[in-house]
Amino acid sequence: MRIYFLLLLLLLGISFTVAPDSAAQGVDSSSIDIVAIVEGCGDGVIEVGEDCDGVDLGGATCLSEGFTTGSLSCTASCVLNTSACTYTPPPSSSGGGSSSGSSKGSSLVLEGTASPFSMVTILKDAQILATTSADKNANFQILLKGLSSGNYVFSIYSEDSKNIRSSLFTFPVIVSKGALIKVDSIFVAPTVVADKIAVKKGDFIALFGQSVPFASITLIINSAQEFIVHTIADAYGVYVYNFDSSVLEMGEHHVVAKSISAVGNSIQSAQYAFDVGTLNILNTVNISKTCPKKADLNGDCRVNLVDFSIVAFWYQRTLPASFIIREHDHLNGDGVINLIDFSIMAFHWTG
Amino acid sequence: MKYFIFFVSFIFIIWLCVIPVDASVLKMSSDFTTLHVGDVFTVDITIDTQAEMLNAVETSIIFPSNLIAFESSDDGASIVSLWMHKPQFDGSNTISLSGITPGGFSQKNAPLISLTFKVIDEGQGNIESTQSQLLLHDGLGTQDTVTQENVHIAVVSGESNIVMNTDDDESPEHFVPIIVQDRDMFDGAFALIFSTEDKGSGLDRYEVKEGLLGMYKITQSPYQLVHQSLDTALSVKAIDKNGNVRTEILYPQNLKPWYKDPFLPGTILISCVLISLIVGFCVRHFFRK
Repeated sequence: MRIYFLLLLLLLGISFTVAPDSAAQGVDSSSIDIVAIVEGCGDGVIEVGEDCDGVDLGGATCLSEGFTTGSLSCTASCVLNTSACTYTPPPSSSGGGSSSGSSKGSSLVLEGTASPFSMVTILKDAQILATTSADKNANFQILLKGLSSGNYVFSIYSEDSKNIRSSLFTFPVIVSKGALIKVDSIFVAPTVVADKIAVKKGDFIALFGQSVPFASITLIINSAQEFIVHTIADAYGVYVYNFDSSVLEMGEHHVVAKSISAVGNSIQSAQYAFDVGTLNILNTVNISKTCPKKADLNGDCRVNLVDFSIVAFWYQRTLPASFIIREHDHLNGDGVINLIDFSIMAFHWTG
Repeated sequence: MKYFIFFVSFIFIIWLCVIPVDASVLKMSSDFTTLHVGDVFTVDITIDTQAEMLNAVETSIIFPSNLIAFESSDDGASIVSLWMHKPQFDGSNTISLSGITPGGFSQKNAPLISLTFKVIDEGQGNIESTQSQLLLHDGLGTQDTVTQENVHIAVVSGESNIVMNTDDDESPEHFVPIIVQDRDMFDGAFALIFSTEDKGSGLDRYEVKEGLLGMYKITQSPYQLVHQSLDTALSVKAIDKNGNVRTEILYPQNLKPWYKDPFLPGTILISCVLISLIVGFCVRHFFRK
């Protein structure tokens, strides 16, 4: 008996000594919601790490998730899908916002339109906070929970069915402690590209993109003389306009789009640049791999904190030869890192 | 009379030429401009973009250091999301800052920063901005014209009667530290980048710890990792000016399985020896009884 007791002590001692520290494996002092795909996901039974599984929502409803009505579902990765839930402010609210008390931080509901089935990305203070999908009518809604009270700068952009990114729509939000704020009528800018990067003077160039279904699209071609043309998007929000380049001078031109729908007026799209010359050069770039033209220093097709850190490292310092080349290719090319370079980066930011 | 009209017209035309139309305004304001020695007061700096879209700001604030002493800055409510230069006091009479707002902003009173000062002597002076740059959100970094509204303060004799309240009990915002490697940063070594904000009193500092037994050290992003093998947990603390802390932990990318730990055989051996000694001692103690 004593021998067994001694062996047990020995084993306990060894296991205590060599066991990996649990703190290194996953104990986090913060309370970030982490979504993980669990092996048992899809078996219809909610297991550890799953919010839901199949039709089993674990008793959760749109109401319990902070919305007022709608239908809650479960995603393929066993995370609650609130895209079909809607939030209606109480009758006492006025204007575009409402608030109610909550003991667990503040919440924000963002509601608006982009383009049908587009992926909508929400940035909080320049960093990606969440993504959601627009429905077939281009409407999207998302609930953001656990915000601290204070001033925020939110930005939204969408990626249309061809993965073309819209320009950032940025707005400040003041969040009070424990409040539920609603920001509605967000109208994400349309996208615009063309079938050519250079058009032979006198030929047509097809300008196209996506916005809200049946929206009135205004295309502004910035030249010495500005040309403004209009077209209507189809039921999928897609529009095409064949522009006669004979009215344009030789050289570089830019086009931007604006959208008008029942929701209101959108902000201006990102601009698309093309040349008018003696040759037609098709836009053969795989649009789904279109990357920011500037400021993407690490070449991951995003302009975010990584690029910011690389540039900030050289802020007001003498640049080495290798970095001068990158500064020339991705920023303003004056051989120094200053405020202008960061302004260019802020313009092309994707988060 | 003809000369008078000509003169007035000339002055008017000159005035039109001198006053910048639609220039953005860098405004400084304070609830308290008549002060007493010992008062602690705040100057709010805001930007009126005059309907322009801006995305970058750089300025220096100069204050009369013979009258007031700089106490602290609060960027918790700032329109700026990323700072190249967090508000920095030069130890004399200047506070410099520069930052950007990705996506741009267009506001009548966009908050930039709040500066807190303590009154140290009687007299009069101005708190004013200098070398200010506001850049347009046009993808080119075009400089907007800037007009400045400064603050005049008068310190008179009398009892101090301004009380400042700081009731921030919320931690800085969640953030996700990222390990990056770039050939032009730290000679291609792995670095840790991070950024967050505190909406209450503003962020004070970051501290980073490598490994579970490491020590936290005050640093800033980007931080060059000491352990380049990426096999240790990294903890990043963001601490606000009221002492509230947010800790984020990044787990090792190259965590070795416990059985591949080179120290394992030695650890087992030492543990066995120690346990044997303890057990032996206990056994001897039992048999004596």
